Amino acid sequence: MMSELEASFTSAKEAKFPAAADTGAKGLSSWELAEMVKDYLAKRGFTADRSSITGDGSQLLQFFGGFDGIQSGVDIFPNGELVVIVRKAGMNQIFEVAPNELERVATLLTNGGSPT
Amino acid sequence: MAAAQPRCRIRSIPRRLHSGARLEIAVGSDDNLFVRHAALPPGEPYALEIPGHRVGDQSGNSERINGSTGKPQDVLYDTKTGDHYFDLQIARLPVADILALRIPNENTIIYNKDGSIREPAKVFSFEVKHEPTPCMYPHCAIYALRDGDRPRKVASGIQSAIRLAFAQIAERSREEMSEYRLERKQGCLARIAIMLAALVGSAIAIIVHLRRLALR
Repeated sequence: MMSELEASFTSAKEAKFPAAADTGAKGLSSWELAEMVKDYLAKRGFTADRSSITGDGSQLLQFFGGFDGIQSGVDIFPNGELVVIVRKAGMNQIFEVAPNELERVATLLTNGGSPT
Repeated sequence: MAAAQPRCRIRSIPRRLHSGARLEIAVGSDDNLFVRHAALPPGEPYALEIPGHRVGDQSGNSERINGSTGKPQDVLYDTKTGDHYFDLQIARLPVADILALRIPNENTIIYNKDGSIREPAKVFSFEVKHEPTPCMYPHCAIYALRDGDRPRKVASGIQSAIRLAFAQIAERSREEMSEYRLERKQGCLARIAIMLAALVGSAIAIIVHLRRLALR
């Protein structure tokens, strides 16, 4: 069981952050950033099924309604970093996304982890 | 050798859980940890996290160290204020599964000019330490390690990956564990009041019944 888990994380994709300083979200508080992300996703049809503050202070939005049993989420960190999580067919994919790339977040959620 | 713990001052925590003179011991890989978390609605999975899970240092209770009289619900006692967690739920994490976790951070790979790997990815693993407190002898902590050392900071993507990995471990016993709750203990006066109310209720029912019989 554990080797399956390890394998799934080994294949996870992690994009490097673009220069975080040139974000359109510069100067926003973490609460404002979370609201901005929620509003943006809501306008594209993504309303979180579960929203929580994690034990480490990030805000995690979870979406369970994906086709083929896909579970996905967006982890919004207090420092402005965004992480998109997609769990599909037992595979976990983790994408780090800059706050000025909200379109990419929506694309990843729409396509179940596929960037296009 | 660690010193014995000071006395537990919270009376509502059973004595069997107090550390007293007992010292810390090693946690075996055949053990289970019980971790409390905010309750999820019935039938809902953990999905991407165990609510409230702390990546760097997560508390839990050892099943083995707690012994045969121990219960999973013991993790629902609050050992600082005595304001216990009656509404929380419990996740079970087998120690063997925690120790087997390996999460590489692919952003830390360093490549040579020809594309070959000069330094492989830093890998996150976990250790489980028994850390008894005065009121909770089976208390343990799960620490994240980066290439064997405790990191000061964990990258955002790795934090999400770690939370997801632990949620997947806990998911295997989600249904079974969602049944466990800490029972509220009634005080002596409350129990007497409930018994008196039951007696008065029964007496009134008997009187009403007898009056009906007398009126026939």
